Amino acid sequence: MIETNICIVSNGMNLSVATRRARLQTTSPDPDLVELACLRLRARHQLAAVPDGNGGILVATSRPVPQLRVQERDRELVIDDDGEAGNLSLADEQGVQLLPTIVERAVLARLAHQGKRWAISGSPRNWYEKQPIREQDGISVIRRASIASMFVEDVGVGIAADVQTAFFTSRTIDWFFPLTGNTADIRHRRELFDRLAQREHGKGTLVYRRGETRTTCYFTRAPEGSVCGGTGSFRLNNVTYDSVYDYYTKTAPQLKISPQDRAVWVSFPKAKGDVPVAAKLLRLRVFNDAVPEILKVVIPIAPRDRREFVFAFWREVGADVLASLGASFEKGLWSPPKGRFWQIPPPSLRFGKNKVLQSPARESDYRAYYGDRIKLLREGGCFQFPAATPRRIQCAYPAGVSEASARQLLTDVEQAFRCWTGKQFSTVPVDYQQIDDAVTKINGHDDTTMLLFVLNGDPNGYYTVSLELGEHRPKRVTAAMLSKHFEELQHGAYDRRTKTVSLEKGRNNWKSFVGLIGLDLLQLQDGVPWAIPPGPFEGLLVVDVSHDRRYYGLSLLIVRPDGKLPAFRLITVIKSKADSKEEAINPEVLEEEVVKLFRQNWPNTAPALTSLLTLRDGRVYKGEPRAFERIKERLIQDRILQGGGRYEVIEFFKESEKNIRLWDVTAGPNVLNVLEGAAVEISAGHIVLANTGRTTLNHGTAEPIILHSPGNRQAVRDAATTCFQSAQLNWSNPRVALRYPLPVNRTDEELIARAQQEARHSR
Amino acid sequence: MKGETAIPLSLFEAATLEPPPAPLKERLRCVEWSFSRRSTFEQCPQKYYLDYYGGSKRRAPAEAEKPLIRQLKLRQNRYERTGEIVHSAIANYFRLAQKGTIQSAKNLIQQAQRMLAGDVAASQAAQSNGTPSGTASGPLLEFFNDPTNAETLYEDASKRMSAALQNFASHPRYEKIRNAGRSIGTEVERMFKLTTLPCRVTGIVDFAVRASGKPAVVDWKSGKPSQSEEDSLQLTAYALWGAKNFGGPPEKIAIYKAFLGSGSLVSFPLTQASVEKGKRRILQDVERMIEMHDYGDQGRRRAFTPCAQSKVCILCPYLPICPEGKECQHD
Repeated sequence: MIETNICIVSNGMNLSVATRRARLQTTSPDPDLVELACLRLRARHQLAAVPDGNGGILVATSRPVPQLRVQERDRELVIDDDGEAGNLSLADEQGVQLLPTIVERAVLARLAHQGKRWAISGSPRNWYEKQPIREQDGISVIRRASIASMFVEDVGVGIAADVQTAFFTSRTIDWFFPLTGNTADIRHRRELFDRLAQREHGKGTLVYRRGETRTTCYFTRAPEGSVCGGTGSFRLNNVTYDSVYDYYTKTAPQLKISPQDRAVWVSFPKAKGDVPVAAKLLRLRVFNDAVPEILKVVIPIAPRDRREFVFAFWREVGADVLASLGASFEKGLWSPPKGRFWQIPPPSLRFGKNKVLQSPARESDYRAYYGDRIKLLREGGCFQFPAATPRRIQCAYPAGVSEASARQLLTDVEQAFRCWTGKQFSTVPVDYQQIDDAVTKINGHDDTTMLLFVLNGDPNGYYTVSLELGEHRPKRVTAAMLSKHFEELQHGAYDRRTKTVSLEKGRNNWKSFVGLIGLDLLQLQDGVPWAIPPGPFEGLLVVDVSHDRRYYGLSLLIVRPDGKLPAFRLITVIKSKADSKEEAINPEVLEEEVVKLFRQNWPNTAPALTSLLTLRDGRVYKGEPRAFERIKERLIQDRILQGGGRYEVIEFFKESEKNIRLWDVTAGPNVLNVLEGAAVEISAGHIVLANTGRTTLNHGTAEPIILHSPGNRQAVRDAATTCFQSAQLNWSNPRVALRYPLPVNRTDEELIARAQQEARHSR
Repeated sequence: MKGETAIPLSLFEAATLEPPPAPLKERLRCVEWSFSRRSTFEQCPQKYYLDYYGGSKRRAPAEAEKPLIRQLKLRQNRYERTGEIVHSAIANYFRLAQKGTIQSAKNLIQQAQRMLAGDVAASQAAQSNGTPSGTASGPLLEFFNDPTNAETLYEDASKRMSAALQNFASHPRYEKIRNAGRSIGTEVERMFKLTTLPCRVTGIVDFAVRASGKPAVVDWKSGKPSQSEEDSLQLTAYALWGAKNFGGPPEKIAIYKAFLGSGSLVSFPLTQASVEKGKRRILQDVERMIEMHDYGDQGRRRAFTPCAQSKVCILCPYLPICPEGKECQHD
């Protein structure tokens, strides 16, 4: 039985909640201030309140709303009961829109009132446990519950609870920046901070604790010797303070900050510039990538434990949590009925020499379906290899990397290419001292070659290679990884199973390393290791914006029946985003760049697409809907899309925005991951899809994605099929199911790579 | 091979509806980088368009409001105008000093105040009559964007400007600079073009001198040190110019910011790594600008999103033609 982590509110579709309307008096009723009013009502009176969309607030109570005055900097808001009582129910659209939020806020009010957990301002749905579950190497592992509500079609209001793991430094930031001590120790602590904060990527997320309020902020700098009493004056909310010590003395004397306490500078979200704060009020948030290996084992949580956590969490919150709404939760977790859950069949996979890996007919065939891809690639070769691909492979390697390792890498990659393509390739090692030397040597030849570039850790190297050698489509390899694997090839690798150093393990690790590099190089040359048959859409366009909003990416996957050219094609482009303060892409630019992507790659004589699916990673908002309409019109005008062709735009969320999880409860009860391709329809146009599952997932719970286009039931169902099918193009890691469709994965990886190449901090 | 038997791949390379873009390397020189240009680009893409395309004679012929944009572009806010007066007064001070005349602080301040007072009077007249300002500079934009507070704002600005010039002329911390500036070889307000990068870079160095063997560059700032000055791209550009002008590696150029508002002189030590990072940042800036170049040339103003930040917009000359900027003033 498939089960979700969603609890359903009693009375199902008959849920009805008594409300009072409150009116707001303010000079500037901006949405932030109205939300702040709701928050204050919740904090002071444990009342669930939501903006009603008409300038007022709906409060879940049958009694008059107590008067409340909210002051925020230079603005003031007064909330008064306006005498209007009513009922919100799921029978009308307003109820469907607002009741899930009311329920969620009632739970949040309970969590805040209980005081058993803490939250960070701005992330009201995440509630951290007070005690770490583990502390090691100065890092505290803290579990948090994350909740989110939703309307579940024909069922009622549901609320999903999930468990997540967060890491913080056990010590406060003053320890990392001591005012006294020996030079070596000071340097060691600073380096540790830089590593844990991932400063090389410009990061450093901190949690600032001011009494019981915690806020996220970002590390800026820690000038040597800076103390709270000597920070210099600064202005905050129109008040000038002589120092940050003066600020704390006047606004939070209970914190007992002394003039000699260490000060560091941080920036707060939505605030301009950076400000000094007392370092002893800060802890560093350590992100998963920076967590020591030994602690990473706590990140994956098995479905059984996750399910147990959900039950324990609701017990902790209390059975009467929704009493103020006159409701409760139904027993157990929501299992989608027949018709709302289905298993998307994996597509057959097409290799060279007409070899086909058949779709698994039963669950026991799934293992071979994922495990045999490399074997089929070896036997049949790749599905497609462009005739114009260079037949020479160069490997540039820096001083300090042995020539033998570069030659071995070249020999083995060439052998793999010969096997996959049936062609012969020549190989050329190119040694270099500085990256510029390599650029000169490689560009010194007229012909373009395939290029493996071993980077020596020069922070500018990645960008220089992209800029100067981009035409070669270089595959970058780090010197450290090459040396490590070559060392293991020669002298063996440690085998955890036998607890010995094994030559065979070293050889296997090397083969795997070379194989993955070869597959990446093949893809960079537009080679297609294997293909999928056409699905519900002939074209899949993915639009994504990088986390720092400085770039956006477009990926286009074409899969059409044989004979209709182009039959199979994948193109990814990354573009700079000028308006990096906005998540939305400028509509004029979005329209132009998408159309350009097609026009620059669409053969003049190609038959038009009969269908195109666009996945927007994140929300489609601001001017984007109109841009997507214009894109359709222009593609039709250019005869790239058929006049009456199908065209759908769907929102895609990589991380389940609503924290929804799926698992399979069998006799016992035994709780397993779902099978790859499990899809659950929460409501029309809202699907949760697990591309990964129990066949290839050994640890943790499958992390589903969300597809969203309210009311657009069939389009989102077909989008789910397309997503699962294109997730089978796991070319870079064939034995492991891919969480995202390949074009999403490709865009995501390239956006991350671009962001990492950015030179930051310069003003 | 399936791909080569069933699918004639050569057809993939058939002519496309539009040619592919030229490699980035070949496009790097179509935009000229300067620190002020990159700052505008980062701050507000729409202002960037209006400054560098919409108001340009040669670019964006399709721009319908070109005459108005060119007129608005002349407007300066109090920070720009007082900064310009301070720079001009200091440059003049050194030019006279090199001819043997040393201006007093009082003299410097009086001249600067006269200039600003003239601007204020002309702007008041322009605002009330709708006539051109009648000064060499453009009208002061506060008299249009924020008329009720304009006079007070300029009274404050005048005081800050005077304090900055007083510090320049008399603060002991700047004595060495004042003395060094008397020598004929000193570079003052020197425009430069860098040719050592794959892209075009321009700028103006306020003050550069080879003092006691070590070349130094000083950048005048009218205000006080801000809290994030340690990693300045502008100064990296100066160091690159200094390296070319004086010889030697960029990291050997002594770089200073003189914050005249507080009388401080802050040294910015550069390393080879920070210079390399700066060069990469400049190239990446150019790359970002190139992405928008065609939109600018075609006069597609809507492709440049307005920043809509009230504190930025109130200081922007283009506020009268920016609906988003006006709207955010009411938030």
